[in-house]
Amino acid sequence: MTKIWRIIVREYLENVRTKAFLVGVVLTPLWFGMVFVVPLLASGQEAETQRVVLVDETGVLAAEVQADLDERRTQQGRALFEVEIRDAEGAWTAIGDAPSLVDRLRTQAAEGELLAVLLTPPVLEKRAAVEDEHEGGILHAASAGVIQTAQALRDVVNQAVNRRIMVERSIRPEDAELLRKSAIEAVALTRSGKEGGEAQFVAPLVFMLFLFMGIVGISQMLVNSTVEEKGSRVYEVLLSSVSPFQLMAGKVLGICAVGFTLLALWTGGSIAAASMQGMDGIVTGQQIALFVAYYVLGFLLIASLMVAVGSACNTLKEAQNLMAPLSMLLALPLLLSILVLKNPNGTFATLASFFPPFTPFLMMARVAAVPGPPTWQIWASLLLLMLATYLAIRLAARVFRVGILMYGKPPRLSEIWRWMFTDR
Amino acid sequence: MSEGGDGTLAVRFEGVTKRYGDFVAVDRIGFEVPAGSIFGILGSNGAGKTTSIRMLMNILRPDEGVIEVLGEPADERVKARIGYLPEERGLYKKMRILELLRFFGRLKGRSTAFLDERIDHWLDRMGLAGWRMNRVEELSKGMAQKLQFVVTVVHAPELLVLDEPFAGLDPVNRDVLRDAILEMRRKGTTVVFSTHVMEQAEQLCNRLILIHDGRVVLAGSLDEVRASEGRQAVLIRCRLGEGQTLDGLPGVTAVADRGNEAELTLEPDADPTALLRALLDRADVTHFEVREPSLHEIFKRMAGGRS
Repeated sequence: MTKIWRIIVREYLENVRTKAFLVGVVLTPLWFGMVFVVPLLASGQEAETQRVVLVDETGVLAAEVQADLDERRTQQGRALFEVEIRDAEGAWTAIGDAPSLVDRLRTQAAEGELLAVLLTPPVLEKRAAVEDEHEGGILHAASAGVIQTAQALRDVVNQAVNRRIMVERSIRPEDAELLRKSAIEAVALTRSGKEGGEAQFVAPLVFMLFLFMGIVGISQMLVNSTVEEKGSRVYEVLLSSVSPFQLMAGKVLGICAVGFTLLALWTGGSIAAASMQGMDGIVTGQQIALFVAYYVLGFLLIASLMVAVGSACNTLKEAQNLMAPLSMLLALPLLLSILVLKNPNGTFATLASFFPPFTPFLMMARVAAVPGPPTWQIWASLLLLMLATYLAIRLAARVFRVGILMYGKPPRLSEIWRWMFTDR
Repeated sequence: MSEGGDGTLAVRFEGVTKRYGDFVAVDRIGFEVPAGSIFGILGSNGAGKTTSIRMLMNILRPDEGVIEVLGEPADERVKARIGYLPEERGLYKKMRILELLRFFGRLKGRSTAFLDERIDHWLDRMGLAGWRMNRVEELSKGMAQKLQFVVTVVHAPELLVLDEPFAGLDPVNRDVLRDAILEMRRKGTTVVFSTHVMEQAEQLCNRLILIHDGRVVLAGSLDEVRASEGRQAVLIRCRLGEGQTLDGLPGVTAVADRGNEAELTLEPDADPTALLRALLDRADVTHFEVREPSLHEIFKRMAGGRS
């Protein structure tokens, strides 16, 4: 046991002292932050004045729309839209070979010279009286992305039209406001029955992503160090002091501890951040305990398979080739999670989360969702995972003891398979 | 077993066999290494030397037979008492030298205090004293080779097992290593080493075995092995006359031409004087030395006769 301990300590220190580790601790949350925060910042920043052309056939909306759009300004007070009103008279008719005004404007919008062309036909003015609800104005813009930016334009025109309808039908503005509001609000609950807010929806995803990075990402570190050390020919020197199993166990547990440190920092940071936002009680102590259990078991299961493959290879490229099927298998839980989270306790979710290589990710997602899975399922999944991990370690040890002393041509998967089932 | 001083055995192999599938790498090998001796395992590449040594280290397990090391079965427990320099060797490149030596020494169960004293001694002895805080990757190849040896001996092993220790060393480091091995032996350490370079074995060993195709073909002390040949050899340096060769000299069974010199193996009852006379007819002789046959020639004949 002391020998395994010494190898764990060496492995842990060597990997934690690297720059890569520090970068991982700091950069990964930063990356997450960027993914979520940058679009928010960018939406406030992207405030160039954009040209809009309005071809108003009603003759009454133009001024109102222009005034409304002019009110939309950046924080610095710059106008967001520059509205140009064109005469609707004859705007649709082509003169000789020349296209009509509307066609020309459409082309300009498609080419990005304009943000959008707004067409307001006469029916809009009398919308209240018109039965055909499909008849309405049109907003032409280049692409879906611009359409989103142009959402404001649509709202402005809608409001102008609605104001006219209200006047026409004698609806008071207060009543209109009342009708607009949703009468009921959707609120997510935490396990304890408190209001959890939106973070509750995010918790299963965050847990799963953390586990994925901690298990799949960190065990890649193990493969790298295994291949690199095999290349440096240090293994046989070590085998003069320890058994192959002790060596493998020490390496796997050492790197497992590295991943644990990383996850502890991230999870601790996330909970602290959530709590500063006033979102307490999203994560329960039971969830944390299960998170640790699924991480440790899942890491041991997957890392043993990876270290076995790594031990048989002499270059990282060989290892990546051999590991391709395993990597593909391990990417699946992320895809499946969408289905699982839609109905966390459905048949599909239940079955998928009992497949041992998926268990840590999918079961954790289910545990973090509300309502969680029945307790017996949690225990059963842990038991099954333990069994699979035990088997994986035994088989991996057989591959490892042969693999680390093999130089030259990388073995085929079939050969590795044979090593697994030959006990010598 | 007189060389061992007290007559105990450091290593005993009995009927040891190792197969890889259908291939028999080591075939019923048996030998004994007296404590305190320098024991050579000789053989060409692929003869089964490394497989035998790995079984001694419990890195491979024999299919049949018994291996005893320092009076115990060869298993994990006895490893702490052995210093092993494998043929495929290397070190953690990123570690600092002091840290590395402590790590390997503590894996052998030694305390830091015990190790630090020896680390000082050996680094000093190998000219690496100023490097203890450097990383392994900063060392030159020659220095790394010396450090590798320090790793092998830093825990003061009772038995030193060296697989092709001289391979890849320059002449200076070869001498450094040889002196270090002799120093260890003077302190009572038993040394087992393998080599395919017979001259090294001749210089160092007092007992040896010759392995060929996984079998022991010759065993004993250096003198016994030579005496078992029952013939003599002649080492000559000469300049041959025009059109002359060394073929067909009287009483000579084999000629090993090594360029500047040649080793002639004689028939058991051959007369060296008659040979010298015949040789003088063919060449200007500058050196003529009757001696026991070299291990190299003995080995070549044993290996050739068997395969």
